[in-house]
Amino acid sequence: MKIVVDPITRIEGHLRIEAEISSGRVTDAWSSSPMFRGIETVLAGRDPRDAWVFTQRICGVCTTVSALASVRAVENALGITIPDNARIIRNLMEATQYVHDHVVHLYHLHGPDWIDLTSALTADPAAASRLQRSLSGWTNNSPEYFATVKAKLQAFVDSGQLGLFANAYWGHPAYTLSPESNLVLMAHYLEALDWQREFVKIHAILGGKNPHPQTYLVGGMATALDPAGANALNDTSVAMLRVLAKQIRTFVEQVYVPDLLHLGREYRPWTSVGRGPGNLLCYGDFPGRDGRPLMPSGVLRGRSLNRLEALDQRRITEDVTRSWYAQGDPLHPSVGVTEPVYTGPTPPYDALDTAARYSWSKAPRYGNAVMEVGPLARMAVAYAARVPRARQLVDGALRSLRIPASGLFSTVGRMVTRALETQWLAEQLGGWLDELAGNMAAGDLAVTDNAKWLPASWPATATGFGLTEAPRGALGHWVSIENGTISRYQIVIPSTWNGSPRDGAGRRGAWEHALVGTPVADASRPLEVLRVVHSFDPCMACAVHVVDAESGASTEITVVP
Amino acid sequence: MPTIPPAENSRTVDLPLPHGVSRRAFLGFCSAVTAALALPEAMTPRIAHAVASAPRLPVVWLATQDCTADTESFLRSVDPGVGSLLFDVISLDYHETLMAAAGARAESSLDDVLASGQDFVCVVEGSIPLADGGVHCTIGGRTAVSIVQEVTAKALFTMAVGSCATDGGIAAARPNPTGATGVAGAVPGITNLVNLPGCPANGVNITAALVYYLTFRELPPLDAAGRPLFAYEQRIHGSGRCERYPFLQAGQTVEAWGDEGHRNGWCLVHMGCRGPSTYANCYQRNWNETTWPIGAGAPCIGCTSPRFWDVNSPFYVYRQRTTTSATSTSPSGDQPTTTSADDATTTTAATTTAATTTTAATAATTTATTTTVPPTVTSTGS
Repeated sequence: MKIVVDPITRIEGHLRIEAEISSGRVTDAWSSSPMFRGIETVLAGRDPRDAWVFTQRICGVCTTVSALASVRAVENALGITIPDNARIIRNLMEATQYVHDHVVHLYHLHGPDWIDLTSALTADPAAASRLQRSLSGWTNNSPEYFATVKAKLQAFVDSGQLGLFANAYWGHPAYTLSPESNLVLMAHYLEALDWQREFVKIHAILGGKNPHPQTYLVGGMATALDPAGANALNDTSVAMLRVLAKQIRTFVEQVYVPDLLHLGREYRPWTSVGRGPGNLLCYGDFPGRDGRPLMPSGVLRGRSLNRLEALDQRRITEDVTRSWYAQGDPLHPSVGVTEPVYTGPTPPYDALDTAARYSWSKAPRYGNAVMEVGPLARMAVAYAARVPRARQLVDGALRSLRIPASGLFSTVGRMVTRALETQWLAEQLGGWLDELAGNMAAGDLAVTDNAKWLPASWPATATGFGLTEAPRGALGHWVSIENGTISRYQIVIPSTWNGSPRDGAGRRGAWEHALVGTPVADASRPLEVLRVVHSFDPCMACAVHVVDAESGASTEITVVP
Repeated sequence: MPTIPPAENSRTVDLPLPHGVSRRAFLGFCSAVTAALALPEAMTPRIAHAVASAPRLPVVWLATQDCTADTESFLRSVDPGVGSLLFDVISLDYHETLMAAAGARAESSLDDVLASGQDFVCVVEGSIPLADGGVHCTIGGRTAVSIVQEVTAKALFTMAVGSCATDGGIAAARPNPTGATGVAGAVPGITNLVNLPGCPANGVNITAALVYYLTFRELPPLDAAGRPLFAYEQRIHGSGRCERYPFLQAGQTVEAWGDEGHRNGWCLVHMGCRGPSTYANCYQRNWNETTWPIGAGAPCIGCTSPRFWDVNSPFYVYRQRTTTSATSTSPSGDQPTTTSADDATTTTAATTTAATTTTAATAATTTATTTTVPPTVTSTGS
């Protein structure tokens, strides 16, 4: 039988999954992105210094990351090297974004796939207190505390207004946590709601606001520095940043990571479900003072953690054979030419024709191979590259979960590596702040390179690319500039890699692949499908973006009923 | 100042506090909302009473061509944080990003609200594409436009949060590939609509508008474009508003990134700041209770202005801009007609320093030849 889950909720944007189920398992799956805005088309003819302002609006959940990739692309095209202080500030903002994204993902987006609210109402607060004390030193751990949380949840249910928690799959047999585990994790659901708004003040201090910080510039950052100045980023600001960075580290180390390891142990069978294509790609990111990235780049194939290939971005192509665009050969993003042609069913519809074109998402491939990107790829590549801290974190988690390294290629593996990289980055914040404070104390206040700010200083034509690792994976922008304006702009986004439809050779995208074989106990309540898809943390507004940003190009769209 | 019903009791009353929320935190929240609404502090007890005692307000939050930044902004609302908001103030009965249910069961949550006949507020985040029958955004196989039309028709009132839902935002920027528009454009004749433009809208304002309704059972006073006066009445460029304005009056402006003026917090207008044409309360209601873009050293892009992606870009190019020219190309909104001595001062400054006016239609094509360095800076005096 075929099932449709649309909307896939608790993600950014819109996603539809159709899946064939036979004998209690998924036997085939199709991922469709049903939303399209055309931001790249909008960029054609505009000022390249503005591009990041536009591309940042691709996503407000992973805000900042497409701003960063964009300024890097334009800087690459124009030959600009940013000052050290700009590198540090960008690293701080991006790492903060990782922490925010990943923590919210666990508790508020992915959590309800694993945590049963109704079970939490039957928990013994004293036992929940003992469980919390066994997990970490987090101080919200008394029986009274958990009794208060339980009463709050009970009052909420008794009110009859279930709101966000209505109509979920509560009581599904795949929920196997104890009532006390459920209560502890629900308490952290609530704590994380309040906590996430606090530490993201780092973005406000460095970026003016969150979401969509405003201080990026081609050439650096608009965050003027002056250690003693009242109207610039000063010593007091740095002190505030240190306090917030410490809050981050405490919560990550005492709540988020222990919770995730606990979940992983309790749901150990899910270390062999949702295994994915087994090929991993990482661009590398968080450059140090020497230019080397904290997280290295590379490609791994065949579920191996040993044979690391060097990354060559020239091998990336995008295929549109099963996407709603006019057919063309797979092309590198720097020359990608695509014309939207909608051939799906006329809405309202019940089913897509999954034998034909079925998504607004294109199908990126690396050397013709399907690749998974994201936390699993980053930690696996860093592991294969023998980065000591990555090895410690991964080996420690494998011991805690009592699983072999092959278990990383799974639903739980994605979740755990997401937590591990969060911890790794939380540990870096203090060091970057030391670097920034050191520069400022030494009188290095440079935060932009203005030499190429004015269009008169640019060549008549220029092309470049900017690569970054967004929280959800490898993110690349490719830009062409002619006579001071954008002539072509192309973006390949993490959730396009992971959520792609099939390609011309019929190969499934990463989470289509991961879904095959997933057990489904009750096809009318496909909780297990959500678990696998959510483990990739889909971001669909990002995944779909068009395409032909050539100046003056036609963007007519043909509807074929 | 809008006409406000008198408080029933201006002293601190005994409140039925929301479960698990301390009295201090709760009153802090109500006080912050009162300030956001530009109401006198004496109104706080009345607001507190309404928030604490009224049944939670059902909210259906529709996401269309969106980036979820308005949701994220809402999640960063005022203390004591969204945990209490979600559980004590509103009942978020449908929200794709946050709801536990998925697929057909998620859609049945929406159907339940619509079928029940109960009062609910509709929030729309994202633009609505109209080209080609709306195929550029479908949810559960239905077009966004059909869903928005159905839900708004049954709502008590609708809040369009963010610039996309207000006027089409970035998706509607030239050449508007998908025929995107805001709620007003997608639902012809809609009357009970509150527009909260911004990219994103400041979560404080989203929360304040909901609490205003909860307290007074009517919409907050709106301008002609449907924007609450409490958030969009004042232009940010003026004395007592933007903290950099006094520097402009003293003739002190930033001329290059990281220069002495930049480090000293001088006026950013020559770096492209759109403060002179922007109406918003960012200067008052900081983002994330911390600061705002201009405070952090970045020029304002005027994200609350109608069609700002086309009207205000290229963003880093200084150009003459008066309050009326900023709205002349807008199909959907009018700027408030508030005037003050500051406007006159600024207009004078602009006309003496800029030789040409760049219009929205030509902005992008003139980029290559336009620089951000203005003619010799003239002091506006004061």
